[in-house]
Amino acid sequence: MARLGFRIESALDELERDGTLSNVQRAVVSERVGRAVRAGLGFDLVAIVATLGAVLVAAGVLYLLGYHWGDFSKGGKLALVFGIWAAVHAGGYALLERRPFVGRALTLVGVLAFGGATSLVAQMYHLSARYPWSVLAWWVLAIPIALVTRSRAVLVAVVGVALFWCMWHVGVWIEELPGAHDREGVASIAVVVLAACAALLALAALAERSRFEAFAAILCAPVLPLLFLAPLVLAFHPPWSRTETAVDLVAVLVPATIGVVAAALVLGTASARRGVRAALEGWIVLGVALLLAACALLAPVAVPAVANLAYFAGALFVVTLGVRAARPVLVNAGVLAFVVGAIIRYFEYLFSRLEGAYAFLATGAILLLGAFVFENRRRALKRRLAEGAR
Amino acid sequence: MKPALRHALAVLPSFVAVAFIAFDSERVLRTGTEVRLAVRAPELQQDGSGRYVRLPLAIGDLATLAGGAALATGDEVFVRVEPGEPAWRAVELLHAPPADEHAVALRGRVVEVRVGTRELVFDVDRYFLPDRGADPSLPSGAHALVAVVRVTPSGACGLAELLVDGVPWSEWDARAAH
Repeated sequence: MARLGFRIESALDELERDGTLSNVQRAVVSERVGRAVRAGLGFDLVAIVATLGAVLVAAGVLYLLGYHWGDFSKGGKLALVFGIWAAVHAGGYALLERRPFVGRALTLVGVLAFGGATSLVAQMYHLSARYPWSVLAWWVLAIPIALVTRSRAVLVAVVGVALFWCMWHVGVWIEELPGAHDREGVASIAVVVLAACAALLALAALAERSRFEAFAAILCAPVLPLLFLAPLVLAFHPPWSRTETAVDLVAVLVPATIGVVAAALVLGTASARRGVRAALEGWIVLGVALLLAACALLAPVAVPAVANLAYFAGALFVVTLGVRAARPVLVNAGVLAFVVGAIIRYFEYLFSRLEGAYAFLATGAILLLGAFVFENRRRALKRRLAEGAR
Repeated sequence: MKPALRHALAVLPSFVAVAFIAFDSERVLRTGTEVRLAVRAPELQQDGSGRYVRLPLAIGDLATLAGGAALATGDEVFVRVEPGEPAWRAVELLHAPPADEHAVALRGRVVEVRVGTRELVFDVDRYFLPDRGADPSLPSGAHALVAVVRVTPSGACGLAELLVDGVPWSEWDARAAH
């Protein structure tokens, strides 16, 4: 809250300096906002203390139950699992109107409790499974809860568990296949991750201008880091230069194919409802995924080159997008990705060679020139905005 | 539709899914044929799913099964077993459930547990222990472990109990504590 108040005061200073607010208006606004911030702080303290107390009591009860877990019969254990779980969901619903924050928090706990309930039942019956089907059920069955409650916290859980399941399930599929297939397996996971990013962008396009508009930002949040991570893991040279005996590439790339088809279906739906332009970023990402999959299948030696091209082109694209949309976060993310990629390539290719010094000098010069250009454009944009305001 | 009903319908599938897991497991334990299978080389493991003893069954050793060496990783097979002492023994490898409805066969698949080492697993390969429970795998080879498994006609199986030196684990654990 104090930080919010500081930021509001800084914004008011700027408005007074550029003449939008007079000093009298600034004083009135500052006083009113200060009162609201202090009132908010008081309310938050009580809620925080009460929440901590409730969390400690709940943790204590769970600890007691866990300590005596072996003393319960199977029926008693099942009754406890379902009873507590149902109580959490019921409490979440009951408090959604009167205490929205607590209600949503309890609903989130109820969604996460699916994993706990499944684990406890698996332990009671000594169950094991090779594929993480329960994790698939976890996020799929949480989707209706996210839609009905319109809770962004629940959506974060759904997206997080879904991405985790994607990588886990594909990893198990690859492990089950006979023969050595580590590099093709990495390619399969990378393509699935890119397809998931394309699907998330499509879902975000569908969410915009709908009842679920608040979901768009959550759906887009993991896209940027994953878009860089996927080509980065494929950009290392050594695994792809080996000549190996043929592996069942078709079987290895089955998960990637399923991911690409699923993403294409979601993108098609988004394009039909919102127009191709709205889903364009998703189609581009899917195109990159298809290109990498085709390389892995037809020309494995070219995979690092294509992955490096996709990575650095993507970083520059994100920077350009950030400059055009006046979003510093995108600019910083793109620059950071570029720098990280350059450093990794240096250590991979040039660590022990004189060319390393030249590579550093050249890369540094490019970054300095880029910074000079972007800073000039940022200042020009800021001047234009200030002139437009007057 | 009333908001409460809508919320309940959104939440209900999660409960149904977990209840189904419990119900199906209970069904296997109540309707399946009881078989006792020897455990070889048990070992204690702990991961995100909990603390458990891994139970590689003797009937899963591909080296001792006729035709086992020809199986590939990922293959699904059925192992027909017959009564024996102290545990049932594997008599035949099949690629489908046996036609004889009185025959007992467990459904398993070939996995590579370590590089170059493959065995059959039957989804009854772990026995969960409480945090304070005694570990029956130690000292190594000191205890005879037998898995009491229930098997349905389709080959699905459930672990009903783990016998340690002839007694259920809970009794053995209680004696070990004293």
